[in-house]
Amino acid sequence: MKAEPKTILRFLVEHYDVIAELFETQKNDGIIAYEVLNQIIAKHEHDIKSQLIEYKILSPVNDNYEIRTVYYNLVEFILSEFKPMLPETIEKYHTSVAELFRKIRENINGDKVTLSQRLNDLAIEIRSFYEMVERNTQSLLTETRELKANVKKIDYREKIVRASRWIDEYIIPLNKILDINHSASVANKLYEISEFSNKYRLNFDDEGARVQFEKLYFQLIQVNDNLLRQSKILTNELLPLIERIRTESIILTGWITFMKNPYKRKVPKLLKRKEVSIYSNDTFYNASEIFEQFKNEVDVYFEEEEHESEKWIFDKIHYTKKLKDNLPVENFFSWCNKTLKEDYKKVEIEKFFALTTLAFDEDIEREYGAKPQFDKIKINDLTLTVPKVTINQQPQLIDPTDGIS
Amino acid sequence: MWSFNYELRLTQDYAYVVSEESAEMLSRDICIFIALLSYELDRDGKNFLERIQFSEFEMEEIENYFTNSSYIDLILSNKQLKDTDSRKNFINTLNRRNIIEKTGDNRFVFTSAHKFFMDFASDIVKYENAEKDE
Repeated sequence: MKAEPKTILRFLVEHYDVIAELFETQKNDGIIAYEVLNQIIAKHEHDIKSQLIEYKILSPVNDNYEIRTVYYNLVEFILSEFKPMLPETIEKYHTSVAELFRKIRENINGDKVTLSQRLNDLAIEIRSFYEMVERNTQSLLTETRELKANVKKIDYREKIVRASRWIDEYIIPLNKILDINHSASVANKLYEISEFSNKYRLNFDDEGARVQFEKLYFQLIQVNDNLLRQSKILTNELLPLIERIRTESIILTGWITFMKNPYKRKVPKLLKRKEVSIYSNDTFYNASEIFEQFKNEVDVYFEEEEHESEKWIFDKIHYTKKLKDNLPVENFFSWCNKTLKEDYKKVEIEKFFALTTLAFDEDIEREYGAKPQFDKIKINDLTLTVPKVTINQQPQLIDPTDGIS
Repeated sequence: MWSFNYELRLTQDYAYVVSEESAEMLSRDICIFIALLSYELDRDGKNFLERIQFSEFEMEEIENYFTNSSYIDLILSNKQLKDTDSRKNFINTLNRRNIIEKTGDNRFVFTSAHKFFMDFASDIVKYENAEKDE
């Protein structure tokens, strides 16, 4: 380039209007068409086309032109007019930063010149990563606010689409990049580098590298603070704002659709209020109908149920004593029958069986004949065949009441 | 869930009963009222959802929005919304229906019941989108 730096800068100042317009064209169309370039230059009445190319501000692309990235970024920065970038673009820093960091860590004791160069590059990468994040948050915020105020009078439907797209494609992925707890995030990588450089800024044999680590460490503290702030803007301000735009737009779109044809659309069901008056022409008849039902009273009698005989409870103590007094009993079952007949006129089978349980008392000694002998005992209509069991006097018959009280 | 033989629906913000016998005219007018108010608030640069949910309205403000609305044809064709007097009556109906709560002679706030209608509006969009997708 033959021109002096100052000449180029002066040229930029002098013809800033043209350059700003070219910038706007490229921002919108992606390229500056040959005819458009001519039109813009003609409008400003200075033929500066040759200088634009000579100073390498414009570069030809086929038949059209493009502002060189350096100048484009410069104007973009001056105007603070950034387009939100897809987080994929920012994500690439993860690779470059991680790669540089890996090389630094692996060759920490290698060539000092290369190490110094790498540390320098890492610092540059981190700085440009941060700048990109900041620009993106800012531009998203501007765009969102613009959407909220609806400067461009966008349709509500379009608003929903935009809000949803920003949330899904920009804000959530960007937040992931800034999420320090996410192991694959750039923020997490930066934290790792920060710990590493903290260690080496204090303990490394080469002084130059130590100074560089120190610089990197403080840069990272600053960057971390800033990233945290950006992340907060995203989650506390941007996300709620854009979520609200989305809900509001959905509801408004619904209402506008509804109002296009309010009488043809089904509306939500609302309970109908019904008033039922208790007074009417028929009240008298209704009431008398009810009372008539009570007019013809029929006497109702309740027959008292007969009391059931009290439940018989087997008095084991009483009968054990009786058995003991009558020992020896030659035929236990007929003794049972006899005893019951004495106590009650009518022997019931239930009582008989209850009494026979005495024979199974452990304290009683039973004797059976050498040959089994059977008796027949008649209780009411029932004839029982029972074995002949003799119960003998015992030297010590334990009173069953012992140990109960 | 049922209550007094009506289906009772509970949401986080409001509860309501549904019946086959429904006051369709009233429901439609309420929808139109809230639709117009939301639209006008938004046009006025306000966060209509927040305003309806949290702040108090004065009848004068409502009158202003309705008389200057671009939906004037729709307003004039609606019996309950066509002029100041009918709108005043309509507000009293809303009050009886617990959709608003009067805080003074000419002032009121919306109850959570308004969300029932907001949900209806967002359902319109979902329903239409679903139809398009089919």
